[in-house]
Amino acid sequence: MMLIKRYIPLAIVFVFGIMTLATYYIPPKLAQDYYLETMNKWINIVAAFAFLLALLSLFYSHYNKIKRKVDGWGYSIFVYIGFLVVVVCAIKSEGQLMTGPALTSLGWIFRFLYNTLSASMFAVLAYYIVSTAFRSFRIKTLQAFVLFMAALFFIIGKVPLGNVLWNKLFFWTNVSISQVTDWIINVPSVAAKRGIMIGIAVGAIVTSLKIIFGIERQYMGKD
Amino acid sequence: MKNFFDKLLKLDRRILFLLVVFVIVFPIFKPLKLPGIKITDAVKGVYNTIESLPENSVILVSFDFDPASKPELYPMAVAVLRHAFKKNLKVIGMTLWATGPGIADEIITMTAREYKKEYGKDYLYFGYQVGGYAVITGMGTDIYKIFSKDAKKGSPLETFPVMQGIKSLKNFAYVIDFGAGDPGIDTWIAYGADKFGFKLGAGCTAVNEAPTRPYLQTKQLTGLIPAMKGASEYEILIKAPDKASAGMDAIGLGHFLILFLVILANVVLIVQKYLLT
Repeated sequence: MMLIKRYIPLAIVFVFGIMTLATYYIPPKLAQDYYLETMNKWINIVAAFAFLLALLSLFYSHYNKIKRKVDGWGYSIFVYIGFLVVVVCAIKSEGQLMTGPALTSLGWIFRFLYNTLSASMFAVLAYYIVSTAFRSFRIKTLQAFVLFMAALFFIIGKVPLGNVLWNKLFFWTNVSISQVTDWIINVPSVAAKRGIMIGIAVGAIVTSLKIIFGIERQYMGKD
Repeated sequence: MKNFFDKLLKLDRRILFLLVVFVIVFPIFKPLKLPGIKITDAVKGVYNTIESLPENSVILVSFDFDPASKPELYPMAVAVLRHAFKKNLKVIGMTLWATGPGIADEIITMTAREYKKEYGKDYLYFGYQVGGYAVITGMGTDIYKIFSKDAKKGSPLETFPVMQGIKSLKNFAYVIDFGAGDPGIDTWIAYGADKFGFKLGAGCTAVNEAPTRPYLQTKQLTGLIPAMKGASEYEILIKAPDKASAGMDAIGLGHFLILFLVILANVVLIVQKYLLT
C-alpha cells in the first residue's frame, strides 16, 4: 500500500520534475520535439480528468446539501438544472454560439444569462467600494496618508476630468499630472512589484525543489 | 452641529448607492465629452507595432478574460482588432479561459464583419484549449498538435489559407494577450515570449496595470493597454471613438465621487475631533 500511495507518486514527481527542469539546459529542439510535446499532451489529458473530478465533486457536495436540507439547499437544485440546460443546449448547438448571424441556444444562454449575471456580480463591487471607502478609509496613520496621496494623484491623473482640473489649478508648477502618475507607477510601484516578484520566484523555486525531492509532501494528502 | 456630523458619517448606504448610480448613468445618457485624454507611451507601443507590420502579416490574439472583466477588456480588444483589420492584417483568435470563448468569438466575428473579412482567409478562430501554460509551450513548438481543428467549422487548420506559413508561435508577426488573470499576460511572457522569442503586446485590467508594468520596462512587452483608459487612448489613435471613450466620463465622475467621499469623511472626523470637543 505504501508503494502505491507514497513511493510511486514520489518517484513520478521526482523523474518528471528533474526532466522538465533539464529541458531548459539541453538543446531546445530535442527537448521540444520529444519531451515537451508528449508532456503537453499528458497535461491536457490530466487537466481533462481534473475537470471531470471537479464536476463530480461539485455534484456530490450539492447532493449532500439537498439530502441534509441545509440552509439554502434550494439553490443547489439550480446547480443541476443549470448544468442540464447548458449541456443539452451545447449538444443541440454542437458547441457553437452562433450559426451565421443568429445566436444558437448556447449562445443565447452565454450572452443573455452568463454574460449579464457575471458582469452584474462584478459591477455590484463598485457600490461596496464607494460605501466602504466612505465609512472605513480613515487617514489616521502615515501609511494611510501615503496610500491616500498615491490614490489621489493616480485618480486625478487617470481620468480626463482630473487632467483638466490639474491643468487649471496647478499650471504654475510646470509639471503635468501624467508626469506625476507615470513616476508613481514606473518608480515606486514597479520597484515594489519587482521585489514581490523576486520574492515569489525564489519561494516558488524552493517549494518546487522541496516537492521534487520529496521533502514537501502535503500535495499527496494526509494518508 | 455635532448631530449633523454624526448623521453624515452614518449616512445610509442606499444614499451612497444612489449617488453612484447617478454619476455612472448620467454621463451615459448625456455624454460630457470631457477633454484631457492623453496618449501614453505604453498604449502607443501596441499601436506602433501593429502600424509597423506589413499587409497580410498574421497576428495572434488571445482573449483571456470572462464577462466579469468585459467592460474593461472588450473595448480595447475591439479597437485593436479594428486597427488590425483596417491595416489588412490577418487575425487568429483563441482563448485560454473556459469562460472566454463566447466573448472571443463575438469580438472577432463582429469586427471581421465590419471590415467584410472572410473566415479562413482573413481571420480564424482556434477556440478554447484546456491547459494554460501547457497550451502556450505546445504552440511554441507545433500549433497543429494543440489546435488540430478550428472552433467554428471544425475543419483541420491546415485547410485554411490564413494558416499558410504558420507552424508555431514564432511565425506570428505579433501576439497580443488581453488578460484578466491567470492564465494571462504573465503566462504568455514566461512560457511564450521569453521561451520562444516572439513579439508580445498586452491589454490588462486596471488592477493588473501595476503588476504588469515591470514587463514593459524590461521590453518583454512591446506595449500595454491598461483598462478602459488605455482603450480610450487606442480608440483616439485609430480615430474611432466607441465604448471606452464614452465610458471615461462615467469612470471619471465615479472616481471623483470616491475621492470626494473619502475627503469628506476625514474632514468631518477632524472637525469633530479638534473643533467640536
